[in-house]
Amino acid sequence: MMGRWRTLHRRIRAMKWFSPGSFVLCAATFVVVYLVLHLLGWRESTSIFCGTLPEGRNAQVLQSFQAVMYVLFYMATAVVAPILLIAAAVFQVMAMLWIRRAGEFSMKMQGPVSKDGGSAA
Amino acid sequence: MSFRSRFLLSLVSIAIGTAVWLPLLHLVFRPGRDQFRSETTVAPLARQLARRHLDLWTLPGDGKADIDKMRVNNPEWDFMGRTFLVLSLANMCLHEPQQQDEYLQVMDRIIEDTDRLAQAKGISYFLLDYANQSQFLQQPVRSIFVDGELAMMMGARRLVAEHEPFRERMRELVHITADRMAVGPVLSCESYPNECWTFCNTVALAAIRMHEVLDGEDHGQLRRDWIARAKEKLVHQQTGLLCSSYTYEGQAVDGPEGSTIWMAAHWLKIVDEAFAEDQYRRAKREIAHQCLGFGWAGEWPKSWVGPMDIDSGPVIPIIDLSAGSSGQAFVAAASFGDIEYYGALTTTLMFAGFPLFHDGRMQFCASNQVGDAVLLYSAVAGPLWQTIRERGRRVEAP
Repeated sequence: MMGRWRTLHRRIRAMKWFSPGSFVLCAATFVVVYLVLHLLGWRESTSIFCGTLPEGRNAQVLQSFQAVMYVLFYMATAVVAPILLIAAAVFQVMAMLWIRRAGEFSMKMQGPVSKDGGSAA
Repeated sequence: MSFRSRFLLSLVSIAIGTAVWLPLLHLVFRPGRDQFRSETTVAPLARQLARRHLDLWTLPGDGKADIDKMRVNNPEWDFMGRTFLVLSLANMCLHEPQQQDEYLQVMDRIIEDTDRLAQAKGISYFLLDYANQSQFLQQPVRSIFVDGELAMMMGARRLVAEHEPFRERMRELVHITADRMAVGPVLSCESYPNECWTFCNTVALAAIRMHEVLDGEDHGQLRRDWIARAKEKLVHQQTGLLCSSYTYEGQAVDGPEGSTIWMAAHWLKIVDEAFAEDQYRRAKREIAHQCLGFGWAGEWPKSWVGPMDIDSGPVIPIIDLSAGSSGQAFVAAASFGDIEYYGALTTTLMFAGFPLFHDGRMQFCASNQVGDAVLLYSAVAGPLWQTIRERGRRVEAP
């Protein structure tokens, strides 16, 4: 089990920014944090938006913090995460096309290969 | 692949992802057909919303804390929460007569409690503090906010089933209100000292209309005169919308506001349907917004921007979203059969209202008791106004 976590951790650390993997990781983080906040019952804290405040300054600050965090991760999950997942798929497809075209381009630049291995051009 | 290539590819991918997802997002939140509002019955989500409100009045001490929290900000909300719940229950009684006994019990409890509090503690119990800071011009002191909504609650109850004590009390309230309106310079009464609110005066007119169809009295002249005077003196020139507040003499204090005009159009529907319809269409053009399947409403038209207050709630700039106005837009859209706008509003509600489902009950976390009561009313409204129209036609037939 620890080995699996270590592998995952190593993969994440090795991951490049601006790659399909990083998009998926980002989306997954949003979803996981949102689910944790939801299970903690922070959704009810959003009642501060209609001016329903608890008594006491500390309770008000705490509820405001909970509400803002909940809304941020809710929006990130509902709006941003699906965009990132679609973007990851689009990125993957475009990267594959890019690499294939780059391969074809370099083949063209090299030109047809003669029987003795040298360029016919 | 170089960093620059990956960065550019990321931007293009995210742009494509955004272009694909945003137009689809509303489909995740749009309730199914007849899930939130149904023309013929009480929709499942409305029933869950109603259940929570019924608990507030049937389970001992259950809703007191919610209402007390709300009263800290605005005691009016306590009163309006009661009115909207009574109106909702009246519509639900007409939708499903088999549940009538349960709903009528709660309606009676609310009305009796509200009337008792208004009489025992005075009108200021349900008004904001500034009601005590200056003098009402019309004497003896009364607030049309309290009298109008109390009469309307009793009228709604009586339209479901007659109730003798409410019949007498409603007659008293309507007579007081109609007499005081008739002598006002613009046929209006004050809600607060030297402040006449369109919301409250249109509620009073609707209550007077209820009294006409229930008891066969004729206040047609007052209704017609009020509409004529309003068109002449209380309408904002640029938009043609009713101003939301004015002095006792008829000088506009606030211009048109979403937190007033949607409901005013709804109340006026049983007073002067053509004028009400016109107000709704104008309000829709001036302050309603729809985008990507979501709907909301702003508080002010472009030609008049007022200050944010307890009624408007915070208005989100750029997208011009007012929670107060949007909530009331539900009622108007339902009332005027604007299915498309109602659907778009409901989608926004399910997205950003943070509904919470628990044990067959639903509440919107981002709302409060009065907000949820308004939403419930929008989900079940229809039969009560229909009954008034039908009975009105019978009463007026030669």
